[in-house]
Amino acid sequence: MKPIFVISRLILSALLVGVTALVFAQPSSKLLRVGGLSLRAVFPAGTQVAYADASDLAVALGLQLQVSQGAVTLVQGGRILRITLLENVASAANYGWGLYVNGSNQRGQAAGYQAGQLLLPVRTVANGLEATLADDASGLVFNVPAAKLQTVRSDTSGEGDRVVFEFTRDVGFTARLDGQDAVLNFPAASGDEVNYEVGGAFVKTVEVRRGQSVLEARVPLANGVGFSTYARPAANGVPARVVLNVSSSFTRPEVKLQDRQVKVVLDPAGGGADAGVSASGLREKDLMLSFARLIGKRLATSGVQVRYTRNGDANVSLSERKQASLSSDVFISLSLVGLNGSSGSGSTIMTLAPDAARDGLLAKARAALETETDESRRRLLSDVVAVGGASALLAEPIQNRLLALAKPPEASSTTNPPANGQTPTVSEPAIPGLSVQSLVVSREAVLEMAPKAAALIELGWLSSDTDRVWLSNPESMRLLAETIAEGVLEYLAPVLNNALTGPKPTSKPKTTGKP
Amino acid sequence: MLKFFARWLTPFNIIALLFLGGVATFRWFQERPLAIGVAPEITEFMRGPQRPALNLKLYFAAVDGRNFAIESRNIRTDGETLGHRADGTVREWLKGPTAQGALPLLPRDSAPPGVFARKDSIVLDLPKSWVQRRMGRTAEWLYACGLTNTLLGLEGVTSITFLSEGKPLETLAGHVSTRTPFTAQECK
Repeated sequence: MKPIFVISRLILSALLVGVTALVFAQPSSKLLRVGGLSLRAVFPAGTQVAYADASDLAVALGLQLQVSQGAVTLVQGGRILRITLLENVASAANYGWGLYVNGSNQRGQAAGYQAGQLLLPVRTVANGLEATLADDASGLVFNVPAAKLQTVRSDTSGEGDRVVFEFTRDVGFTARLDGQDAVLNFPAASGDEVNYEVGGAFVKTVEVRRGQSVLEARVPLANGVGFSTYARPAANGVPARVVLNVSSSFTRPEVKLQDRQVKVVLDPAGGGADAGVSASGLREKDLMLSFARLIGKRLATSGVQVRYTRNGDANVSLSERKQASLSSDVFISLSLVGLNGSSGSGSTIMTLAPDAARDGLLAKARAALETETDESRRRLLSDVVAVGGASALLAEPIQNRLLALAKPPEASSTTNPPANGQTPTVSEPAIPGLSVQSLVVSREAVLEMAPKAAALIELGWLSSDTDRVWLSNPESMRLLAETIAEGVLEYLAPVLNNALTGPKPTSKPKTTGKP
Repeated sequence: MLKFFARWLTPFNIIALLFLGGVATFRWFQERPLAIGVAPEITEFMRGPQRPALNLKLYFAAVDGRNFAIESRNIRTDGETLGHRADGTVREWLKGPTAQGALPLLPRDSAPPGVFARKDSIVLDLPKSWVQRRMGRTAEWLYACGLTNTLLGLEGVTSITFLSEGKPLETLAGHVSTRTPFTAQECK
């Protein structure tokens, strides 16, 4: 054999061995430490790009997460990261310009799905937040540098006072009313402990104090005034700002204008090739879509943002339904039952047992929210998750209101016949034959990822003659939809009262406060 | 004449003749008609030890559609292994209830699933038709737990895993999560 062939064979063999070793040497996952939490970073096959579960990462970083078609949005104070979302994480890892920071396109991989799980490129997120990502022997360490409070400026006028906190970088924050004081908490921020004089009609002083990994600003307010807050990102040499507006025109105790609107996601079962349960020409997918639209219409009139997992006859996968639930304040899945020969009938409201969340981090965040005593941390957590019992709190008003439809308006009218001997008038319930119950269940897949209040409403049994009467009656369905919507609004009432009011800021700060 | 025969009566010809005769005799023996006799009766010894009947509790849907109707049956399976017993149990469950007041959770003519035993767990590899059925959460829970409870009645079985076409299954029929094995605790 010629030496050239021997050498080429040797080289080819070495290459094969090398490539094989490289493939096997690439770890499939690594520990990822973020803000005191330990997550798991995975490496999609054939890439060296670290990815982490989107909701886990958002919770760990204290970011708001929003998933829409083609993009994932993360919000940190005034900094908004938009990451391109592709179907397949393997192709997402090869994407070159998948990151937008406050509208500016930057280098970075895209987000993608792997086995139904939404994954975010860890380094891209780190770059977007101007954080560092170190790779040491124990795994990856995600370190977000602390934002430093540079100064506090103020702007006073007869209509209202404004306090502007300027930071070296974008910072997340929470605001609350504590007695007569507005208290702003800036987690992971640093700064000097200083008292500022403002001298406005509504705000006299601002007191900045350092807590454990949090900077707190306490602003005593004049009697009867409210406040709002919003954030502006750092840009073109202008520092990141958090603005506190104080005015007598704010009638609510606290308004956070940067908050997203309260969002209800409605999930009609079936769609496309999946007709769902069918009987007597009625199909679950058609009935539930029109029913969801009726509920949504009623909710929208009350100022609630309504989203549907489908708003037409389209196939929607389970993972898409779960993704939609991630960004919801209330998630309601709507379906029917069908069991031939059964006498079963009525509506059932199902909620997951508080400990049934499959997602471990979600369960941890819930547990943290339930045990956390620090108000600022509680508020931060409550932006992302609700306490375990939130779903039960949602189910209760819905069930009570549906039960009212199942009962005659005057139950006592049939017990005592009128004195004149005439046949008593029997009051019919609004929905004859309707029965309602609520159940706490486990293993309901579509509810497993919902971070806040979520319920599956099994409206009725298509196999029941009784139920089919009202399921096919447009007026009954409208009444049921409005009743459920009223129940949702009753649950949301405390949230709506705080989030849907308050004017937007109109002028820039002019004066500088004196420390 | 004798001289003629003597000339052919060589040792080689004699041996060849004997060989041909032997072959013909063997062929005749092989193809001879068999005598018709009476088969001896099968004794207990010939049959082997009698396989004991398997006593099952089969869980179907009660007519109210929210609870179970339980039927007891004795069956004999094709083998003694846990896999055989589980397979026989699922096939019996598929036949549906016989008593009034109980409903089948799948059509009686449904194709049986693949049934495997893995230590103390039964793995059911469901046909596509099983997972494409839509019945709503309430009935689907009865379907999942009906099968689970029935199989957990087999001695030594502690969990039931559902697959479809050999792959992990997200939900049984749209609602009930089947990503982790079912145990008796969940289906009480």
